[in-house]
Amino acid sequence: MRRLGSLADWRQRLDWRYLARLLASLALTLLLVGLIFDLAGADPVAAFEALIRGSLGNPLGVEQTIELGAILVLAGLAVTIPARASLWNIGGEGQIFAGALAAASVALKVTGPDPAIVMLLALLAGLLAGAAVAAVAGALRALTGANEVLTTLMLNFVIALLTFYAITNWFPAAGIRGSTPEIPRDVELPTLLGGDITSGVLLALACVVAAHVLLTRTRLGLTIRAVGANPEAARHNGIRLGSVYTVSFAIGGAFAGLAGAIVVLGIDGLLARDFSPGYGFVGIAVALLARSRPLLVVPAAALFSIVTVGGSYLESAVGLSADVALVIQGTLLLLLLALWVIPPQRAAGVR
Amino acid sequence: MVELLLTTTVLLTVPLLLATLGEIVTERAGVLNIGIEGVMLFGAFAAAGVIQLGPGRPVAVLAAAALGAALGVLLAVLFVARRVNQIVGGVLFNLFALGLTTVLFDRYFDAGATGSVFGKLALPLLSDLPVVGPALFDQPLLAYLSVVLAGLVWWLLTRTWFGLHLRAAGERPRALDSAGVSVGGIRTAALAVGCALVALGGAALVVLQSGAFTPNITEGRGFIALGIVLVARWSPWWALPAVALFGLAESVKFQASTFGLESVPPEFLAMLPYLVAIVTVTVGTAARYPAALGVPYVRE
Repeated sequence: MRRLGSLADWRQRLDWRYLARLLASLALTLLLVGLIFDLAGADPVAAFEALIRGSLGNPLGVEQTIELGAILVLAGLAVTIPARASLWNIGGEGQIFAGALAAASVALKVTGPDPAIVMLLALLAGLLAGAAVAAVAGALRALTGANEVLTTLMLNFVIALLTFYAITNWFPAAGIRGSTPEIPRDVELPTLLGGDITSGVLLALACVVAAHVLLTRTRLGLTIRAVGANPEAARHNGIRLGSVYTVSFAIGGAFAGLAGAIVVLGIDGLLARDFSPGYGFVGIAVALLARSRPLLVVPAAALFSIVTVGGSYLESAVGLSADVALVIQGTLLLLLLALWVIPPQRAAGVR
Repeated sequence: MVELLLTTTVLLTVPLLLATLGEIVTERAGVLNIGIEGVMLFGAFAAAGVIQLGPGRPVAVLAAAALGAALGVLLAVLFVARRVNQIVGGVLFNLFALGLTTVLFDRYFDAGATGSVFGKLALPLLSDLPVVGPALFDQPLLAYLSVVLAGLVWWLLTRTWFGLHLRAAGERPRALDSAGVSVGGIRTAALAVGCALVALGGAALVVLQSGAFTPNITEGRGFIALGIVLVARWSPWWALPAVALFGLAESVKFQASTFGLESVPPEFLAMLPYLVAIVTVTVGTAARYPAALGVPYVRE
């Protein structure tokens, strides 16, 4: 088996043609996005400058970039683990919603124990809810061969609608429409070093290490990668594909669920209908850019976080909708794919 | 009451039907186009944009189809020429489409615009039939046209050389290549035709229902069409009853009170199409997927 990520591999990949393709896709992205900025009525140079200023050029922006980065790291890991078993998790969005809903439910409804215990329970509930939703898709694939791309895609909508229902019917908030009441201060995640950054960031980094160790140092990780490399060979060696499918999805979903819990308990302090502008889908792009390596998920998520936070700043700076971040991310990734900076994977059919 | 339900069902069905037909064409050629949602969004955007510029609704619908065909060729560059994975490529295209249409909408559209929709065209005699008459035969021209297009797609796929080659590209691309036909060429043409239909579906959302564009107007309808294709087993004829079923589910949501369904929360009614799609994917796994669906063709 080819050892991915080894030194020889990188030396081979870093030839001049690869570099040329990388530079070409970056240049084309700048050009196309600049054109779109211009078309949307903003000065491209000013817009790019504002993008960086908004995300890295001021304390609040840096804080938001780090916090969102943590969420995108987890959303990326949610795709990464099943991807190593050659499975597509397009359901990160739904799993994030499930985690957020479960965490908010525990944080708002459980009042008996010590607030710190409630907080831990809420985190755990979020993690388990995400894992459970994802495991459904994995189990359906294992039991009947149901295509996981379509089931996870559809589950996104089911879970989001369930969350909307819960927000209006289980936790009617006085005052703010479309969100639950605020979570008690002492149930929220503590901040780091007395600053404003949530300790959820540390959780996300711990998950990166855990995912790396899981994939590279454990029997389960080896099994997952064996299934990903060649499912038939793995089956002939006595690996039960069905359980690997279910477990790898559950692990991925747990990361996504944790992301939802951190948004509720550490960043927003409540559950709002529109808390996620498609984090789960951006997670797919993050995992892709990281080539499904947990350690590479961190820089990939950082890049997307900078673009997203900077993009939201463009609204006040140059009058562009915050959704411009989606345009930049989509353009960059599609060009990286089209120019084979991220090479086409081996043929993976739908069934 | 039943009449009103049927009438709204037909109206809600048309965009879904057109999108489903488009996806059937691309999937039969072996390309799983998850980007259907983005293409539909662009179709709605183009239609609303042209209406705002002034040339009128028929031109707007044609412009949307033309943009769809162009987007199909663009997707073909990714999926066919560059063999980009169709699942990630599609997801990324959707993000791109949502971002671009929203940004340009903010810049160019009058946010409060309430456009108008196509008027109805009653078919003589037939529209006088009780109950079904007004629902089925007193509808805008585009509604009749979408049914005609279902027949046309069936004819194209099963009665023409192009359709034969197209299906071969989805089942045994190597055999098609051996016969001297370009697999890439056929798949590119299929994407152009399919995406034109999908974009037409997006335009139908504007010209039949809302009259104007709003960000993310499709709200996952493209993904529902993706599910309907499975229910319809890749057949343009079966697409008609399958789409009607989903349209009915959607219109019941709007008229829940008429049917004593107020107690069922609207969110749960809205879940129905997605749940049906999940059940179909789960129990329908014996279905014959096009053998080469999602697999880029590489000559060896």
